[in-house]
Amino acid sequence: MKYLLIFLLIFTATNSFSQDKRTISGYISDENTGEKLIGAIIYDTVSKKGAATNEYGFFSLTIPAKDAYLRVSYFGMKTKYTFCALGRKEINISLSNITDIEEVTVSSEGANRNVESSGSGTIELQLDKLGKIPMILGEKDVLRMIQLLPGVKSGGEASSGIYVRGGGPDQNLILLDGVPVYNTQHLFGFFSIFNSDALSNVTLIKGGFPARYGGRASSVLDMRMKEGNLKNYNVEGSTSWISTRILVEGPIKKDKTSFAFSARRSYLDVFYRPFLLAQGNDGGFYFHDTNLKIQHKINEKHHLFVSGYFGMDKLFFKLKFPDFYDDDGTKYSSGAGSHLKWGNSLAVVRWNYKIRPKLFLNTTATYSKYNFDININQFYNVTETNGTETKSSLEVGYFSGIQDWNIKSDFTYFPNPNHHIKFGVSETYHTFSPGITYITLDDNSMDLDTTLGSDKAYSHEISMYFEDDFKASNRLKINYGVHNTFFLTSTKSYAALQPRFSANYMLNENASLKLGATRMAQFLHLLSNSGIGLPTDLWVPATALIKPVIANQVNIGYHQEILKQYNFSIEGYYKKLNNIIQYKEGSDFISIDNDWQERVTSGQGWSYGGELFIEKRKGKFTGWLGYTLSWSQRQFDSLNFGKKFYYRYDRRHDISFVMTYDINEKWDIGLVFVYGTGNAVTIGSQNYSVAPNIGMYSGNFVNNFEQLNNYRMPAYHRLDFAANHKKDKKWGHSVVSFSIYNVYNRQNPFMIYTGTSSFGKPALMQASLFPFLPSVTWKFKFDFEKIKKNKAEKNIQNEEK
Amino acid sequence: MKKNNFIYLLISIVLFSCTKEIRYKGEDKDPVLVLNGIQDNDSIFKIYLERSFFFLSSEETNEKYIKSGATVVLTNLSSGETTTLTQSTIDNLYEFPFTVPENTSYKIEVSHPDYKKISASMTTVAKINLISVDTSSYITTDGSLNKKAKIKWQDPVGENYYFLKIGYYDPQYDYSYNVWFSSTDAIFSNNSDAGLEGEYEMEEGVFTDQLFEGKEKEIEVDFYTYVADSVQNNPIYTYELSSVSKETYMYIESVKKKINSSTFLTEPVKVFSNIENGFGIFGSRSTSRITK
Repeated sequence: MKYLLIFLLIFTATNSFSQDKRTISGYISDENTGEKLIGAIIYDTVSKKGAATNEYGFFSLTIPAKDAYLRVSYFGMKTKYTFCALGRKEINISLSNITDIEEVTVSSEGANRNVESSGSGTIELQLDKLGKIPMILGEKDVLRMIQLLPGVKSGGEASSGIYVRGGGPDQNLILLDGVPVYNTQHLFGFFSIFNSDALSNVTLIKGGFPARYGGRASSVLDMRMKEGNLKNYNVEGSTSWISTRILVEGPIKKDKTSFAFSARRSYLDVFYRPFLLAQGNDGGFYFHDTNLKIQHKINEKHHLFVSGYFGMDKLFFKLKFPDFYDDDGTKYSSGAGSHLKWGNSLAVVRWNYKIRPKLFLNTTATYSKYNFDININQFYNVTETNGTETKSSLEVGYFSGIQDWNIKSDFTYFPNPNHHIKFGVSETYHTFSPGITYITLDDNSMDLDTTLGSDKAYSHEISMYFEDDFKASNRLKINYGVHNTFFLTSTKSYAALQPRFSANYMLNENASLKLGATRMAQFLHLLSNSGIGLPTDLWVPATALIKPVIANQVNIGYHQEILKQYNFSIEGYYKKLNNIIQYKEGSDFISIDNDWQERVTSGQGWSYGGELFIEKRKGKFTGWLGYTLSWSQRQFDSLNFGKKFYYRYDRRHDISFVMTYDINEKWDIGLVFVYGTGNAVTIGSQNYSVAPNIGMYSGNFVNNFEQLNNYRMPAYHRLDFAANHKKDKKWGHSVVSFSIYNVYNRQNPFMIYTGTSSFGKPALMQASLFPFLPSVTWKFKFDFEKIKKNKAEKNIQNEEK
Repeated sequence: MKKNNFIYLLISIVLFSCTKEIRYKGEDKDPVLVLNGIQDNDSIFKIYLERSFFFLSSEETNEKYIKSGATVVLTNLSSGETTTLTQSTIDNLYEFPFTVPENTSYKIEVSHPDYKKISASMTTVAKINLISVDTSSYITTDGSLNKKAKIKWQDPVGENYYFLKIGYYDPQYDYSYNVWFSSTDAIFSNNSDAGLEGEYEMEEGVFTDQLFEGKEKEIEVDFYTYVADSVQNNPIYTYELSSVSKETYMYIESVKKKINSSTFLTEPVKVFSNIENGFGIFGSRSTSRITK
């Protein structure tokens, strides 16, 4: 109520001055594709007032009632100046790409300056760099790129999961077109599910969260899919050792309706399955994902978007054992099969409505689903000589999943250039399937068809928020707001008021001090095994026994722009996590009997540290250096005898160095170096005998560890290199990328365990995954204008002949 | 050929770079004294003394025994009486010249020139008598002969901890073992995962009186018997209900959990110990038996 009053006051105050003001609103887009530009700056050089576009490319600028001379800028695009006469209320502006790198330095001045934004702990990814930096097996992966940022850690070699400022992988709100994605892994975590060709904008927020985001405790990764080229058809793709991907986009009706379709599939199984099938067996592994987005401009006020994602991983085998005949001719047939599959499905319908020049509404209806399914089955048939057949079969499976239906409305209100207000409401209906085991047995003595495990759970998550990006003075910008959530289950209801605050004080034109203080609440928990990264994610709701996670974070940072080419920032943070959960001692993720609540325990966590980031965004040589010094601890009353212990992903030092260099028009190179303190694992150095008079366990040895996660795996470090060769073809553009992952063949630890050495003695063993891995990727992009032009020239030549 | 060589090189790199032996760089490498002594009422007071060993060593069991060189001092905290032993009776067994009384507090200290001094204390528990054990036999759907036993006792007021086992003895062959039994009683929920019909299976059960504090308690257990043995050899079943001290309960429970969950998919378990500066258990147990 208090915030509504503030809103009304601002609204009233704004309108009281409206007689002397004019408001210009519209969209800023890419001239070549029609794609809306998020965060583009529009600035009236007469009144010295400016505004930025919102997530949908919309802006509203209120200035004195005079003619305006507007400067429009966006990083990587030519700055445009345009005249807007008094009386004109709407203007849509398109910017064109720059081709000369040097030109950027001058032309993008003033656009997207990190040093000026009120958001602290926020990084916008340069997706164009993704194709230049080396990636494992040449697969462009946006999450792998995010793992290179300070404050973000990877779980390990085979993990595309992210751990932000000491938070768990479940504490990241990963949004694809505004829809939460629950599992981000392909190929057991080697790659993320996001097809980077389909993405237009990626923003990571580690602290100072704006009030419009909620539902997760540690970070927000907001990814926007391409809307589809409104002007021209575009076909591009790539093929690597692992998969082939393609993106097709274009206008259905020019400047009115467009589509963007992308698909990716791994194909190793395609080569070896025929051999297995020839032997009567089957098996393999594959993953695929598909994105589709359609946008339709109903008119200048109404835009409609429909988008979807479907992705799946499947590992399976089907074996038919050789038939066996006994002496009297009875035939025995048997076989076995298994599969492990997981995947996400998302669907979005979005409606943008410009209600008034100063008021913009986005209404979204979404569906999100994640399933994990593991199944083992076998059959045994006996056929007697008289033809009588006796069949028996057994099927055991484990299933878990989560399904969401959501509807939300987000309003953006631009009362004047000093306030940028956002408010909205959202309702999500969750259905949890937290670990169900099914058993089907069919044989002569017994028929069994049963399901065991935790019951399905249902909940409503209702959120509302208010946020104001307020320019208090020429030096001070404040983003304040509140996010309030009600979480309703059949047994318990929770409410969490989450105040948010971040501020930017400009020390001078190129340096600022940023501050953030936020509270985040998370009503969903992820149960995952700490020993090895399997996609066995088990999402469960907060209940009467298991409370929601509450994270309080403060961060302070100094940001400086040097020579208009370099960004320098140093940021410190302290985060306290309450009500986090972890499996109890001796528990594992598959258990057919217990309610999941019996298997977990609640506790608290602390993380704190500092992050250094030096970035060069412009010029032939670009890249960044990130360094994080951090501590992350956990405490659970029923674990480690109640004492604090280091989180598995506590990483004291984390360094990432990323560099790209444009040698000439044909060649560019990229280099990545990462270093991280080893993960914390539990290893006890002393064994001893169990008491001799306690029955069956006597005579065993047990291993003692001082405390959980007491031992460090060896440090992780790696150097990757890529060289990209660009060539213009008659049909478009071709890029061949040569990359080497792990140039100096470092055997990085994936897991460590007690095994046997080559001399037959007990030894501490380390398993590693990826050695020196060279790869070649071919990327292509068709240029239909060029093809048309070539064809026309050829026709002319033919005619001349 | 060149192409093939390239492929072979790649496969070789992948295979040979998978695992390797690494050096342990932890600090806690030094062995400590291990004292195991769960005292059974009315039996000789005894402890087992040895040392722990580095987890990557391949020493023989008897190399870890502390047979001499240690000074074991047992103090009866109720009477102040002290008994000292410096030599084991056999191997690592140290026996005191008296039996274990009920409700008596003890402190034990062991010093050895090569190891840190260890100490522990406990109070012996009182016996909790079984009231009755009623048994019956039945044939299961798959034709096997099973036994049901209803075991009854009175739980005293206050926190109590229990240990239950059923012994089988074949007098003809002088052969004995502990039987595996199952029960659907929720008191056994920390002993194993429940089966399809909600039953918990175990060879020994540990439980607390949380669910029946101060009440008369009857549990029903079920176990398989060999038909031939049951008919021909007149086997003897001994139902043993032990009252155990809290530290004994915590120790047995954590040992069970540790040994049953030693895979990389399960969360690590730390075994309980009440030995200061060392490992093991100094606890108490008092057993009531009914033989049928």
